[in-house]
Amino acid sequence: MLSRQEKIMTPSNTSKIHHIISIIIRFVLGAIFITAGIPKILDTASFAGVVYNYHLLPDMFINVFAITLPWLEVLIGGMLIMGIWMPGTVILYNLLMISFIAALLLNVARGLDISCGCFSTDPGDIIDMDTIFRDIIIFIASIYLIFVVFIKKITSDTIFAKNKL
Amino acid sequence: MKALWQILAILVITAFISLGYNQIRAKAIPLFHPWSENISKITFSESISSISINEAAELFNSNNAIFLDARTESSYNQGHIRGALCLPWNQAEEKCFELIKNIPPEKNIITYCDGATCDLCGKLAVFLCDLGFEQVQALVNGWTLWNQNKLPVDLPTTSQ
Repeated sequence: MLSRQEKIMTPSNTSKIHHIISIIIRFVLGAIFITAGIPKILDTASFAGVVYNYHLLPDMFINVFAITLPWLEVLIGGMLIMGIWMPGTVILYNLLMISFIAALLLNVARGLDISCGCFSTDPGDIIDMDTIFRDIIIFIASIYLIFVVFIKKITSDTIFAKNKL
Repeated sequence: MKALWQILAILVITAFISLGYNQIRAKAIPLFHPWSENISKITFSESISSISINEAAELFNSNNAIFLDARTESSYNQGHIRGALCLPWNQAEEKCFELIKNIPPEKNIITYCDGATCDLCGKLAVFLCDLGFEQVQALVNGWTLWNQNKLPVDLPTTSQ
């Protein structure tokens, strides 16, 4: 005999809960990347200056990186919201978050006062521990998506798809 | 394997869109730019000049300049040029009037931050210039240079 609690938490129910939570997280994380990418697309020249200030890339890659990264953020954000190519999208999201956090930590360790370039190209958007904490929270949420997509195998192709658990 | 192909496809699509858009947009930037060669030529504005560490030290020793720290308040609290005032660039509009109301417009003002490419001091200098201050100069990489030259600083233990 299953207890009442065990009946409630059957595998099917927990998968549905994961599905609902993952959709919410996908919307939030997708919106974050789109919000972060658009200002950089609009002012690529300033963003290239921000990238240079990080002192992590050789000169020849700075402009190419500044041109492509914002579009990558917007594309991944949109695909995450729409649930397209979830395995690839989620892995790229996590790789980008790891890179962002590593870059921020490195510059905090170096003691450089540079603009974050996270959500804008505003020079007043300075890196501090709050910035790193915020990125770690986002990273934890994106790790949850890895769990949902690769362990729980919830990879609905669209946000409207049903019964693909 | 499926994920790998998806990643490659996303990267290729991104490259096409981003590089294509950069080619047709009005404010296109070149794909390659010698950043390091041009960084020494940075000018913040026609009205703002940068000051060398030796000139800044002379003005400091003769007590002829006010130093404004454009870094964050937490960085300022961890150590700053002796007697410098804290005016973080991101809070400049909120804090400037309280801070600078007793500074005469003709007084020498030196803004500084940290890092060879830090532009906060330049931005703050332009902002102050727009407010009517006539003698504003930016000390690029100020905090590092000040320490390297072993000039007087206020640290948390010494400033109390």
